[in-house]
Amino acid sequence: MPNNMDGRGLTDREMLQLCLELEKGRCRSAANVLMETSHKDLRDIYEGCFANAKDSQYDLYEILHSKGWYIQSQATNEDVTRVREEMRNNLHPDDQFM
Amino acid sequence: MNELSLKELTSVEDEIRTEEILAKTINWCASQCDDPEIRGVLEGIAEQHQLRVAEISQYFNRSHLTQ
Repeated sequence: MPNNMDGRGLTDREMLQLCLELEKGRCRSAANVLMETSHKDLRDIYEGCFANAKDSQYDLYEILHSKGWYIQSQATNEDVTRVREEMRNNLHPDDQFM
Repeated sequence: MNELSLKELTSVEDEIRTEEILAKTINWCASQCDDPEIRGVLEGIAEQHQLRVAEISQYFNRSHLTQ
């Protein structure tokens, strides 16, 4: 099937983003298999798999973030105030929310 | 007694395959990168997944898991 992708491989940024998604997916699948396992030794091993994927995911995020390839908007004071008000209005009156 | 359910037995095979595919894919990504620093990081991550393959396989082979 013809396309216009010939000679247009993935950039380093795209490779990092791809690997980040792979690690996120691995975190989810490792957590799922852990929840479905009662065997003690296997649980220990799967916890190791999850920890490994979690650490790798954060390392990749940090590289992307440090290079300005993963932009996140910061919450403003107005955003914080609005959410605080919403929670204050929706929480049980007995709850203290400062 | 290491009793293993059928579901857990299947999961062992799935987990080994998953880690193996991740290791190979991320290693391939590393080989495609121009930046040596990024390449090194990805190679290290791929190696960690390969170590998980070895860990699960070794445990399964040496333990006396029974159904």
